Amino acid sequence: MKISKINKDDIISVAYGDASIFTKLKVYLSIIFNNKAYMLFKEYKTTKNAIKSIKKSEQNLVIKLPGYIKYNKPSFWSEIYCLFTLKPIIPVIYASVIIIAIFLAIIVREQVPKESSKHLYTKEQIKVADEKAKYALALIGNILQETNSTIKADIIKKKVAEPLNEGLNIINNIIN
Amino acid sequence: MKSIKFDYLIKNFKQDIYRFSFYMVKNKADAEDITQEVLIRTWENMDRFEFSKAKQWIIRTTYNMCIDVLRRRKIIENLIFEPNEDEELEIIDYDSLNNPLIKFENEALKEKINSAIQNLSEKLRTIFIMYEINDMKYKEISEMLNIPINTIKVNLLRARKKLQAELQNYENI
Repeated sequence: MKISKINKDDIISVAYGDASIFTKLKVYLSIIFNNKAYMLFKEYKTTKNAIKSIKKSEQNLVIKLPGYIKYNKPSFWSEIYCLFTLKPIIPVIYASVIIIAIFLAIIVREQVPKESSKHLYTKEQIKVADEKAKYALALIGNILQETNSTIKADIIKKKVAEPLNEGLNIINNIIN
Repeated sequence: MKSIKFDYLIKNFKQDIYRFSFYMVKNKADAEDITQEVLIRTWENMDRFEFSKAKQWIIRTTYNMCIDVLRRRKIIENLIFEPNEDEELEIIDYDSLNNPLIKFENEALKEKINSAIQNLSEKLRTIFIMYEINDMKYKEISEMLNIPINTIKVNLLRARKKLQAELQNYENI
C-alpha cells in the first residue's frame, strides 16, 4: 500500500508531536494497517527522540564575563520570583493545584467522621453489650473456678496425694 | 533585582544560546564567543526589554550575531579560500551511560543528526533550530524572522524531510 503525500506529511507531524488529535487518530489508524506507513512513522520518531536528547544535553561552557557583571547561582526563591515574572501562568497553575488539593483534603477529612457516625451505637446497645460481656466473663470465671476445684479435689487428692500417702505407708512399714 | 533576573537568565538560557549559535555558525569557538557576547548584551540591556519576553530578545540577539558572523565569514572566504572545519557538538546523555551498545548507537545517531542539521540551508536550519531545539512557537518565530506562520510550517516540514533524507544517506554510506 502506498503512502499519499498528505498522509506522509501527517505522519511526520504526528511523529514530531505537533499534530492535532484528529490527525493523530487518523495516522495511528493508518499505521496499524500499513506497514510502510508504520516504518516511516518509526524512522521520524527515532529522529525526533534523538533531537530531544540533544536538546536536553548540556555543554561544559566556560564563559568569561567582564568584571562588572557578577554571576551567582540563583537561589530557590529568586528562581520562583523570576519564574513568576517570566511565565506567570506556571506558578498560577501550581498554586491552583495546591489550593485544590488542600480543599479536597478538607472535604475528604470532613466526610470521614460522617461516615463513621453511621456505625455509632446507642447507650442502650452499649449497656446490653457491657452486660453480655460481663456475663461472658462471669461464665469464664465459673469455669475456671470449677476447673480449679476439680484439680484440687479430684486430680491432686486422688491421683497425687493418695498414691503418695500409700507409697509413704509402704516405706514406713518396710522400715518398721 | 537586575542581578537576580540576570542570574536566572544565564542559568536558564546559556545552553540555548550556545546550542543555537553552534548550529548556526557550525563552530565551537565562534558559538562560545557569541554566547559570551549575547550575555554581556543581555546585562547591558536588561532595562530595555520586558523580562517576560526575555527569551525572544535573547534568541533574536543571538540570531543577529550569528548572521553577522556568517556574513563576515563569507567575506573572508571570498578573499581567502579556507576549508571549513566542522566540529561536533559534545553530547552527554546520562541515561544511556550504563549500556555501552545503546550509548554507542545513540551517540552515532546524534552525531549524524548534528551533521545533518548543519547541512540544512541557512533558512531551513534557522527555523528548525528555533522550533525543535529552542522550543519557540510558530508565532514567535514568525515575529522574529518576519515570515508568515504558514511559510514557517512549510519550511519546518521541508527541514524535517531533508534531515531524514540526509540521515538515510548516512546509513547508505
